[in-house]
Amino acid sequence: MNKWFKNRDFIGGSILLIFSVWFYFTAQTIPKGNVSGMPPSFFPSFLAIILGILSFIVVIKGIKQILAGSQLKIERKNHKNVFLLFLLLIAYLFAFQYLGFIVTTIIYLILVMLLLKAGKLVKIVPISIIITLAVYYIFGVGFKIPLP
Amino acid sequence: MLVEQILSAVGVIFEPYSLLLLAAGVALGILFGAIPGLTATMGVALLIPLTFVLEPAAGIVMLVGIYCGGIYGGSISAVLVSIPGTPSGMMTTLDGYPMGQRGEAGKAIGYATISSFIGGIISAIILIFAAPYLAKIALQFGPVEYFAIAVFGLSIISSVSGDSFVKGMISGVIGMMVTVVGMDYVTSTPRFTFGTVALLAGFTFIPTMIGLFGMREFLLQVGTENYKYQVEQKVDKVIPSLSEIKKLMSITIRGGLLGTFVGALPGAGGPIASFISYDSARKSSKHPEKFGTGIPDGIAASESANNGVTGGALIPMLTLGVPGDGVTAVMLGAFMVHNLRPGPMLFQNNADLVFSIYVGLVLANVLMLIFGLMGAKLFARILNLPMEILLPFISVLTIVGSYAIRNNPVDIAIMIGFGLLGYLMSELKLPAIPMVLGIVLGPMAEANLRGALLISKGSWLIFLTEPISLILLILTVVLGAWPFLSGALRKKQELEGNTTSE
Repeated sequence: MNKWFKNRDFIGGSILLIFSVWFYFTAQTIPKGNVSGMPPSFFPSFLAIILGILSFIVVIKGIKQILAGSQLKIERKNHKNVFLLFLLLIAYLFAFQYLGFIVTTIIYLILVMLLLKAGKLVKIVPISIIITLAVYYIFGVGFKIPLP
Repeated sequence: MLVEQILSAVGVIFEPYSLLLLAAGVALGILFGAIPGLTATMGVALLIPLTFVLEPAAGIVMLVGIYCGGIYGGSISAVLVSIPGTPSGMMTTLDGYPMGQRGEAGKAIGYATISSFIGGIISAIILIFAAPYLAKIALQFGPVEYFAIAVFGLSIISSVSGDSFVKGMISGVIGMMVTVVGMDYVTSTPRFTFGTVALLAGFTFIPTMIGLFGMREFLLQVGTENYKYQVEQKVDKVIPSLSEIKKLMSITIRGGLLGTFVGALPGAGGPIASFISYDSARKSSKHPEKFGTGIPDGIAASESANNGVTGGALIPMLTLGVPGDGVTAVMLGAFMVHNLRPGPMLFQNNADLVFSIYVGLVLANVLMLIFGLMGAKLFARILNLPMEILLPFISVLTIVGSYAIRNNPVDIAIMIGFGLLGYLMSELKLPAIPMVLGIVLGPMAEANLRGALLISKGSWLIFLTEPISLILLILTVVLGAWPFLSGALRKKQELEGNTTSE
């Protein structure tokens, strides 16, 4: 059973297939409105059907791969770091509305650089401050974008 | 008439401020192109928010500069570290890197610069002469033709990006699904908003693009951790001699023409153009076996074609509103910011802007030549910037850029969301570029499909009875079926080969 779950075409295609079914039925709940011609639900339903067919092909491909014992070649990635980065970005999104751009960005940059092993704190902290202030002055002052 | 308009556009571009912006655009473009992991498309996506505060002409011309510089910049890292800094530079690595290894890195960059320049100028000239005619023809296009063009564009990009046509199409359809979210433009009925007020206007275009090209790339780079490289070659003697340039002239001109043609096909861009040009140069060469060992011909073929794409890709983008490649797709955002709609009407209502783009493109190529020949050493040194610091910096730019459009934190959330979506899609080998084209073409496809079916009273046969749409749809089917056909042909040949050898 394990090789079924490890095949990305099979799993990914199935997820997309389920998604297209969901998309189709959600589209049917869109109110018709009073227009002559195609209702607002028409194009989403059309797309959902196409996606359904395409993802079905991918599922079949996945099954073929499993039966043939082959695998989709995908580069190994460090998902842990990407996940941590994602959490950091979400934290940034909330923090910068309260702490303001400068403070949040400096803290964010220091944390990301630590995560990417950019070097010692003595090096990272000044770099983070310089980048933040440069961005703040170029965008906020130079191009008059109101950063909080 | 043409001359007058060009002269007045020259006046606009040669204002010190516009000129400075264009020069900055080209330099930034070369930087983004040269640094592996940062692409021309990313450069355009990150700087689009700035065009918001600029005059439309100045801002768009700056993006054109980033575009030219970015496509060219990819050759620098292709030569020095054998990583194309931008996908279009892939074929340049084949001959550029071996040449650099022999200690001729400067020369290799010189060849790349000159052939990029010639390819770019050829494409600019074709753009100037072809676009007005195409715009006139496009005036007669109705909903049927436009829908067929959208389908055709999506199928081209799906067949050239990623390793499977089906997956490319999936990515494109998901892109179109993204555009469905928000209020329906005819009835104002909310669709897929699930009661969220923030989604009524749909997913804002520019944050989506920054997410797919800035944030996604950032996450991918961090995930793959393959940003450790070191430049060891010395870069000197950049400017090649006139006789050397003459020898390459025929390859370069052919590359420029091929690039322009491929670029003008909606959806097909630099990587495929340089591949075709390299292949045809090798096949017609007297010494095809030398290709790949580090000969100037290979560099010239690849670089002239990928810069030839720039002018070519602008043709369908300006005349039809259908981008010729990924970068021009993102560039459409700058038009939207200023409420300009590319298409045949742009040539009538905003002719001055169109002419500024012409002049800007020519000038961008000249600046690219100067910067490339003078500054190659400097750009080579920039490759040694530590990515551990550069990547976080880029991520801050993605945040500021998406916030800048409406000063709304929701846009940052959209940007991060699409970055993550792009990352997850790459885990399934679903390419990002068709999705972008889907997002660009979605509203156009929907409006014209509904329009066409309104004309035909619901009959789909209308797409087969109109000649232009019929031709485009046949081409689409051929593109989709090609892998199966060519696979079947190969099998047949293999079988025949087996029987004869027995």
